[in-house]
Amino acid sequence: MFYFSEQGFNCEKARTVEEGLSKLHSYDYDCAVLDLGLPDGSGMDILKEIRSSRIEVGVIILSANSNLDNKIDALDFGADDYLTKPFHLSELNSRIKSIIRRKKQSGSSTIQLNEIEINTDAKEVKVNGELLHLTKKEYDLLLYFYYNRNKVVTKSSIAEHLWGDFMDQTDSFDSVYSHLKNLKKKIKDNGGEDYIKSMYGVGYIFKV
Amino acid sequence: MSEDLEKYEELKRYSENLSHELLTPLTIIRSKAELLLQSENLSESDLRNIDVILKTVGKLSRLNRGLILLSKIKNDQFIDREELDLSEVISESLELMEDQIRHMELSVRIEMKSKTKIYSNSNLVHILFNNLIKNACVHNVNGGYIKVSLYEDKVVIENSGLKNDISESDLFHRFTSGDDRIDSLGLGLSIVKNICEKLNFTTHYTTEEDLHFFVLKLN
Repeated sequence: MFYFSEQGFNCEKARTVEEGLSKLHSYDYDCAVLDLGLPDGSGMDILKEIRSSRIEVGVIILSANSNLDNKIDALDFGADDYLTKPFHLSELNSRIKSIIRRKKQSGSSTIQLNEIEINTDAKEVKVNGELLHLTKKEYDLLLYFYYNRNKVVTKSSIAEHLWGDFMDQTDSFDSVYSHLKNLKKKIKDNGGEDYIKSMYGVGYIFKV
Repeated sequence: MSEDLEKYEELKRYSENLSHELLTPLTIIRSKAELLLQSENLSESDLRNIDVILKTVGKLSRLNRGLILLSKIKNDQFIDREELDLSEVISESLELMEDQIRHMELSVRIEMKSKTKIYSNSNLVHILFNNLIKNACVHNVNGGYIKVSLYEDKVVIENSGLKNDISESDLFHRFTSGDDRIDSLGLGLSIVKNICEKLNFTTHYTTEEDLHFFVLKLN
């Protein structure tokens, strides 16, 4: 919670289905993160109630089950996203922000960050007005850094973000490095500043 | 006999529950370590210590995920069947390893001796080939090659690599890895073996000097 409140989010915790529902009925939230395993029921019960009472809130389901069927069920019942334990904090952070952004954006799909402009509809990036030719992975990487800006992001969370949990971490670190190097070069070649700093080989930070 | 069977079932249930119960604590350890990483004024050695914790949690998580998958396979939780074109499955597996292939500058060749179609569980077949292709990549050498040949009733995956003296029977056991370069869990081939048993495929592994051959017979 501290991780999120520190970024200016107002977070509240509910320990049970009952408590969660009572909060959701009483207050407006942008996003609800639902754990499926609760002492008095399942996060799915909350999700069903949210959708049937038409409560306006983005929903991310946290589950211990990586089974595809559960994921499809959750999305069918109107969850916006689904994350399997054990997830990375920076991954949850980027998913929450992306949901809130989608909910709040009224017409505009561009993120302006000094000289960098990210268009999330067209999946295009401009630096000083010039279009960058990014690969899909480079684009994903930049957006991930943007959502986690000013936070240390570990190499393993980046690897899992780009390739899923299939790759062993160590195998993919070289690939993380090479995608990152290309992304940095493309931004720099268009006169952009180098915002991505390495943290002793542990991870990176996008400082703005 | 039936008492033994009961004990075995109980132990099996216990280990399955354990794998599931571990997921939440693992998430907590990971989140707290990632939170710690955000503290101001961390020294380099603090950072490195947190990194070791995170890497270990990652390893434990993948290990746990592998064990959960193994028990799902053993419990017949993959039952749907459909027609699958193996050349498509293999192309998808190669695509997953695209970055690794480029990074290690491997050359990849697919030889279609015949159109190989099977009627099987899509999840299991994908996991099977993902594991086999991944092995052929990560146990390879820079500038090496992978050759996949498709026949009507078998698939042969051939790759360059290092010489090893691991026996075929050891290879398929859990936690055996013949390659010290890679921080692998040794679960991959155990998963391959269990999937093959379920799907009625047989595998055969041979090695000649630094070349490795995996033959998968589709019965």
